[in-house]
Amino acid sequence: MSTEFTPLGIAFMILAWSCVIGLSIFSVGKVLRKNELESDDE
Amino acid sequence: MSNRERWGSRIGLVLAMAGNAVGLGNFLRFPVQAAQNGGGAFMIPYFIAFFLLAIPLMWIEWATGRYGGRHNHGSLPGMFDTLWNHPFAKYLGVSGLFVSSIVLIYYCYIESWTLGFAYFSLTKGYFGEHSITEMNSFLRSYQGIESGHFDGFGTAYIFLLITIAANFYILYHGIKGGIEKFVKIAMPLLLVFGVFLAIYVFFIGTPDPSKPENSVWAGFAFIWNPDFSALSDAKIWLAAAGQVFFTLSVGMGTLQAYASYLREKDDIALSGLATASINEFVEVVLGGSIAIPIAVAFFGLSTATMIAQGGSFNLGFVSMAVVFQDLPFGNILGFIWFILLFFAGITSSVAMAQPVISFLKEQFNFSHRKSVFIVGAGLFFCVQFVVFYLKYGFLDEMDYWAGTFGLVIVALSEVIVFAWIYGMDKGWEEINKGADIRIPKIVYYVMKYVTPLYIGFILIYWTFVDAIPILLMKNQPPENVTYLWGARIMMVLLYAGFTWLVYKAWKINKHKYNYHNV
Repeated sequence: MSTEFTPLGIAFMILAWSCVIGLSIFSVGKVLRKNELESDDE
Repeated sequence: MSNRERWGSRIGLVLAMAGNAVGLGNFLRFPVQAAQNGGGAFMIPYFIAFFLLAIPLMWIEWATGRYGGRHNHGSLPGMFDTLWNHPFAKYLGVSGLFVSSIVLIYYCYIESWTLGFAYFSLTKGYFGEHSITEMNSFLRSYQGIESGHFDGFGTAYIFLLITIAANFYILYHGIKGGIEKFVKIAMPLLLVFGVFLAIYVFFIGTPDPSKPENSVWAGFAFIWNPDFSALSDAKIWLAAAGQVFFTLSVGMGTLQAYASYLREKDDIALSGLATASINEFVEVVLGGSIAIPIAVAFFGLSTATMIAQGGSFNLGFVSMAVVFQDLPFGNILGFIWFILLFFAGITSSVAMAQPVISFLKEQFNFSHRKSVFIVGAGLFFCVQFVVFYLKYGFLDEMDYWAGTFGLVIVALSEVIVFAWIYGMDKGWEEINKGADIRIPKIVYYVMKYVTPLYIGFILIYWTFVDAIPILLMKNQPPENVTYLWGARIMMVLLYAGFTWLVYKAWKINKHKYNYHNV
């Protein structure tokens, strides 16, 4: 088993990280902008 | 309008849901699964399962929960009863109460180990156990499996009592005053500790310059270098599906219980996505950057592989504890690691207790205090068997039937009830009610066809590969058999007990449950 971090391995890590970090920034950012729940008295 | 308690803020809800999903598995199970199943290539089936299985199921669970909450139901029996006008519906929902309760029983005990080890890190209690074998013996002695460092179960029992007390203190203060308040502190701390440790790992580099092959980068290579030949193996695809299943806590009835405290027009589409994203960040970015890279850097690839194959506990409790002894401020780093795991655990375990607490309050009109006390007492009674019979496989038996197989059964039943019995058109409308993002229409078809087929396939595969041999107790030492039967009897009794409670509750509340006639 190779112990060298191959360019393809690095690419996979960066791609996976980008996906989850991007998704988190998009969704959590949007939630933070709308951080209120409807009130009962509608 | 029902007088149910409500979440105080949206971020509180998202953090509570994320806390429910983020558990020990994010830090311990994920890196092992990735490394053993094709490295970077594992992420292909992982993300496919995430989008086709986990996300649709999660939205279904949020929608089921919010819909049930409108009819004052915070647990699956009542929720299924509102979605499906059939006397059997409520009994099908018993599986939701059963799975969350059983998992809570053993999960609390594992969670207490993390608290114990956080204490031992601070006080350097395990310092001096320099090898994997010595540390393993320390852990086994702590668990009461072998004698040596500890006299019996006393120490482990004290941390178990503290853990149970902490869980029920939070639950006692309710959704807004207890769970929401707690996760607003615990989740940011968990993220800060996780990011700190992940960054620290990057700076470890090559701890022993005479062994340049043992480096953090070799650890990342172990997790991320892709092996595309693995993709032709069905097992890899099932391992990925299993991992996304466990990581989002779907199939337990806990997401539904939390979602039942939403108002009718509160968004679930964006909040659900945000929850899943936080969980994935913790799992893929933080979970993949701590335990395995450290193990490879300090022990080398072959030993790290052996540790990983030994299971998540070896990785989390044994190898990490050995490493901390060689690092500057190792006791503080060890404390951060174990307390991080404790936060990951407790934010999940409080969610596991919620379905039964809601059930007792809503179906039997018990006060919140009484319901919390009953669940606490029940947990305290049942966990004794897990503590004292751990070495005979009692915990593993419960983990398999409830925490693995049970999740798939619950998930399959809820997707069928929601998408096929309640109807996907009404279901789609329910999911999109108050939505802050537009869910692509393709998800409609995924929920209706792909997700149930995917789960059905997993269920069939696991039945033949794992469930039958485990049921027949193949490869079990003869001395374990009596205890494994004991675990099964306990589970059957709990299932029967919940079924009887549902029967009684519907008999008492018959006049209230007429939602299908209005």
